[in-house]
Amino acid sequence: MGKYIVKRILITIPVLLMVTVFCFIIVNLAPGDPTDLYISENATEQQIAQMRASLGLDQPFPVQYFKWLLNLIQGNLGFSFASRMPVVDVLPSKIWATVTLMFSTLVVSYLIAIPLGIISARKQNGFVDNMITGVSFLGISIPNFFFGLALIYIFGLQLGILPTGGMETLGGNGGWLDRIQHLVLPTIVLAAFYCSNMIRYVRASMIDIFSENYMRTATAKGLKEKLILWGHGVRNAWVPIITVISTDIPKMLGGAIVTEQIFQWPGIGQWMISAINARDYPVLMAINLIAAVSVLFFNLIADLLYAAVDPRIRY
Amino acid sequence: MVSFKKLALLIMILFGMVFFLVACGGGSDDTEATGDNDGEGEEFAPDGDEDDTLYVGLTNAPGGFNPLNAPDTVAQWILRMLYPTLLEQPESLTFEGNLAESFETEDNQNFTVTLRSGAEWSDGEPITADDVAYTLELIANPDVETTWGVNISSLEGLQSTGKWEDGADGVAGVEVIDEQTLILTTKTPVDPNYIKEMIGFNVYIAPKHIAEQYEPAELANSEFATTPSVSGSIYQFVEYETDSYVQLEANPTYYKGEAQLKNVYLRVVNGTNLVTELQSGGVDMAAGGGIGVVPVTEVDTLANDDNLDFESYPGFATQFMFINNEEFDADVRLAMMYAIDREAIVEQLFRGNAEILNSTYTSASVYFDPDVEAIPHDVDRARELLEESGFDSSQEIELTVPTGNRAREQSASLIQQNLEEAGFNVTQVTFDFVTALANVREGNYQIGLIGIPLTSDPDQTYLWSQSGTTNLARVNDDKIEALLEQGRTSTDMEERQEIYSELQEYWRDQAFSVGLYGDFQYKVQSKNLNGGIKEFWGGSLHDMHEWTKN
Repeated sequence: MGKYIVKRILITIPVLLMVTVFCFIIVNLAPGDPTDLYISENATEQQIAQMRASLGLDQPFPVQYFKWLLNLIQGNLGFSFASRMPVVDVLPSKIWATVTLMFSTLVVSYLIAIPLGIISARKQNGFVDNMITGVSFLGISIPNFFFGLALIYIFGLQLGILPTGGMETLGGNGGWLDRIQHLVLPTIVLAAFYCSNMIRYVRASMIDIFSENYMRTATAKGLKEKLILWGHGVRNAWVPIITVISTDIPKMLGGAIVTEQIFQWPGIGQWMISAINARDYPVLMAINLIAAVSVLFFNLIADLLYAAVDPRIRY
Repeated sequence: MVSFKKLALLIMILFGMVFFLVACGGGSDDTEATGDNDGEGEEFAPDGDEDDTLYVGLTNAPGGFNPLNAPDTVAQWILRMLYPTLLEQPESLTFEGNLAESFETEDNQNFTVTLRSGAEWSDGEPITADDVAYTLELIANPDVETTWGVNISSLEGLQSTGKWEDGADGVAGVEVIDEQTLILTTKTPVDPNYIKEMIGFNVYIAPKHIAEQYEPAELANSEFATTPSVSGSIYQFVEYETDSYVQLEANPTYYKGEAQLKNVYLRVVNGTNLVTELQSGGVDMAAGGGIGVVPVTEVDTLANDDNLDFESYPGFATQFMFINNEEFDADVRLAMMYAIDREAIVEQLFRGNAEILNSTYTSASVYFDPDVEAIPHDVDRARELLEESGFDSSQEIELTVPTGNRAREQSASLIQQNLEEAGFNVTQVTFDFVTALANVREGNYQIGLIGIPLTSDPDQTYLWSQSGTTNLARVNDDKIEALLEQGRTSTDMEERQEIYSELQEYWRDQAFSVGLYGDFQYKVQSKNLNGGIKEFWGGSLHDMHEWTKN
């Protein structure tokens, strides 16, 4: 097992390097010159050249990359073109905001989705199942900008019981209640999607499992229904569920772009959009790097969990 | 299949409910909707019980807080709250003393600046003539990244870039007499208003004792530029949460008196959110001026909201259809100007909240000449001109359209239609803003829509001169060069007005590009706020220390 982990981590390094090279190329291939954004209309040629040099854009492309890589190894992600702040200084608060939102979304989604998925599979094609699949279909298909704006309109503007955006009341005393109130609406919007998605996975894999021979055997043996369901059924459904979770988490870490925009959530997604618009290469590279690391990391975790839940899988 | 029908019904009912709720409120802005806002909507106004905190909505994030290097209007606006300028400009080209008590000249070449006595930085150090001189020296220092080079380039001893000549290590045109007095000398006599705006109003005075702790070349990326610790104006910096908000607090040593509103939060939100935040009381005011812009489609809703003050004024923000002069001669360009129905654009897209540009100035400028009338929409005249020009009208013309400004994107379709009516063959090519700007800058376009924020000083050398760095239309015309030169070097306001009138007429007749419209500035703010932005947006902050909330 330990050997396996070390091997996986070692494989990760060249993969990450490839990812950074590709990202660097793609980011730099984007048309448009960032310098244009950081000079005034009446800037002289000399000022433009100076700005280009100060952003490091006057160097040949491979030199820029290796400089970036060298800095990265020293834990320096460079300066944001837009705000001139070191990217590492800004990163923690952005990650924190996104992780808060991600965590509450995933907890809410899975707490609702897993039981509902099981119920849905058990009552397959019954009224309850139709209701659950119907609502989850709605949850997947409703565009989140629309759902978000509708919630803001109803709860923020008309009822006035929840804040319309942000992570906390600025100038207020903070407090956890205030933060939770700010979390409610974005969590609902995101959870509507993730929850619906998960319900469908759980339902499908449970239906498969219910038709397995070992389930019939367990029933024939006269085991209690609860034991059949949890001990034989759900346990076998964990593998596909873990797969979904391990792809959900990095997807969210990359930032829930639309939702963060609508609710002015100061997370990675919002930051990424403004970085794209501002051609803020160092910020984009940092975000890409985090997304790549989290995908690789959670894939590894998923592989390890497979072994934990399914004894047939060994490394 | 019964279950499928049930499902479809269920979905339709749910959608119906949401649509009903949204549509219902949207239409009835002045009845139930605002009625509700009056009551419970206020609950989440975070300032419910704090009358000394101001919440401002911005639609762009600031690019740092460097008094020497601020290309974006947001940063410039916030810097005005943090650093003193020598002069205030409550109305366009009307100057008042600020840090400078007086700013006088007898020969339009030597300007004596006397600072007010007793002014202090927030750390208690006095603000002196040395700070002013040091700031100008930093701007002129070739190692320093700055946006103000051109502003000070008229001073003696500086090149046209505003940097000092090789071998020099100071600005010959700046002489400190004593702690409170300095003399600025220009290379040639200039219009006092020019120097008052360019240096007196636009250049922020930086604290020498802080700035000199850094190597000049490192200032732009230092804490001095990102998290300033010492302020000399109305507020001092507390915190910037990137792309989310800027927090400021009153500067107790401010020379005009400590601000009434002790805390300021400048929140970065998008246009749609700005509307909801204004309605819910989450922000007290929109920053306006192109940096806190409410979408034109929401203007009616806000104007009808009982809790909000709404006004609109002509401003300095403009949209042009730039024409690549290297590809189209004057007749063809003029044909385009005749072909475009700018009145329809202003009416349909802005519901009258914009003005047609007669040439290249808005009516907010004191140099705007109302006698130079805009060229009317006349398709026949456009066709005639096009025929006379011998232009092959079957040739496909690409209209470059940047995304990000809804009204501009919509105007593109109207423009395309208008041009086709006149016989042009136009296709739209859409890019994100940065790409579009880069293409237009490189001359890699035929016609393209780009917005330009104009200044109150009328000099537009940067836009229409061959040497201008924003000469997007690639103008190369001797007469316009001559007029720009005369305007720039003239020292008398009346004479300048004449020159710029001639320039406007000539520009219009040559149709170097098409001035589409000047967006009006909106003032949208809570009725509880006493103060806020003014008709001349750039001067709005001159009395910010006196703003209060009920």
